[in-house]
Amino acid sequence: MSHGYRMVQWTPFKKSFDLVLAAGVASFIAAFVFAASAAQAPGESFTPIQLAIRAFGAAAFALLTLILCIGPLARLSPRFTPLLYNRRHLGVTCFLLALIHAVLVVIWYHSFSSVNPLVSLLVSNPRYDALQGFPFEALGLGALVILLVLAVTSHDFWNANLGPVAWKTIHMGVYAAYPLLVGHIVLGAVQAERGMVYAGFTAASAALVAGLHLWTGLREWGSDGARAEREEGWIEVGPAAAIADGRARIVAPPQGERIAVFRDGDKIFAIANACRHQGGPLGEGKIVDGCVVCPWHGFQYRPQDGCSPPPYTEKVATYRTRIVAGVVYVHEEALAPGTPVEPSIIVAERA
Amino acid sequence: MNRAQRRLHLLIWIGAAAAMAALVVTGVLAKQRVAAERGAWAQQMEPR
Repeated sequence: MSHGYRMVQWTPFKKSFDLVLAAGVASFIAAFVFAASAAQAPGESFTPIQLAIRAFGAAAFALLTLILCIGPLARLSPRFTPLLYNRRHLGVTCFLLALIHAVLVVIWYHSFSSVNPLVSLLVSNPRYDALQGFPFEALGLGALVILLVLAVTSHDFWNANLGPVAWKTIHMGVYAAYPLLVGHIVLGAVQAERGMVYAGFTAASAALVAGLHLWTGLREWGSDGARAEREEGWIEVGPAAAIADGRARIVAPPQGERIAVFRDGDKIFAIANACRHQGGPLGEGKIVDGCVVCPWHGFQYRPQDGCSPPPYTEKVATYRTRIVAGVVYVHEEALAPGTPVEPSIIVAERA
Repeated sequence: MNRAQRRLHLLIWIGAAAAMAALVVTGVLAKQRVAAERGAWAQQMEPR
């Protein structure tokens, strides 16, 4: 959060997560090398370094596919939100795998060139106007540069100094990196292989990532456009009893941002749904020790005034609420971030 | 994410999905054309 930074905040979960990640990457590379060696056609012979180039490249692409699936999966089911907490570890690992792939390519294919190996990588094949023999290396290099920027700026230091909007805009560069990698593989390895295995995996991965993002995006577009019952700016949220204790119901006003209406015991509060950190959905989080906890990265806000507890300084907008005949309403007008609001009290019905 | 970011997100993914589909189809067609050309060339080279 905004108060300060410690270089590494290791928790037992993070350590276990990284161990599983390291084991997963090592297993993938070992399995790839074994399968590629076993599948070599007669007369085809890959050197160990060529196998390593493909294995590290494939691991980086598979990991980026997984990374891009986590966001929409977490929108579909809260079971995937723990993966969101440590998505940065996956991103940095993905960049390192891609970097190893690139370094091996430069060493193996360009180090004996008469010009600088990096220059050789870009100028040795100038057929940018033809599909056959297209210099696919340039697409991979473009993606690698984007992944480098994302890996370097993945620390919260950059999030706080650039601001959440600029940080998020930069990190949306991953959406350009993925199609660049698809082009890199399709115009490179797919053209070189005898069969259609790479083509099939690449197409399936791209379809999975794009399909999940389009599915969740269209679903949210629909909920943004849904018309809630409202009267003089008061939006009907639903029966108070239908909101679980410590949880929220999210409503979308016709204008403005979504509102998270929380229940804490017999009190009803409403705050903006978007977390100040990275826009995480606060309404999908829960109240722990009197504070709303963002499901993405654990940022906290007091529901009564939208302020993070001291020493942190983040604030979100608050909203007025009321309860009429057991039904909760929230006013669509956002109050200034950090404005204290009296909660509405749920009156227990007599039997 | 706010409403504008959600819409931008969706538009980006519509574009990305179209671009990736075009890349995969183009790549596979290019590969098949090369394979067909190689096949024809190999047939020509066969001793009669």
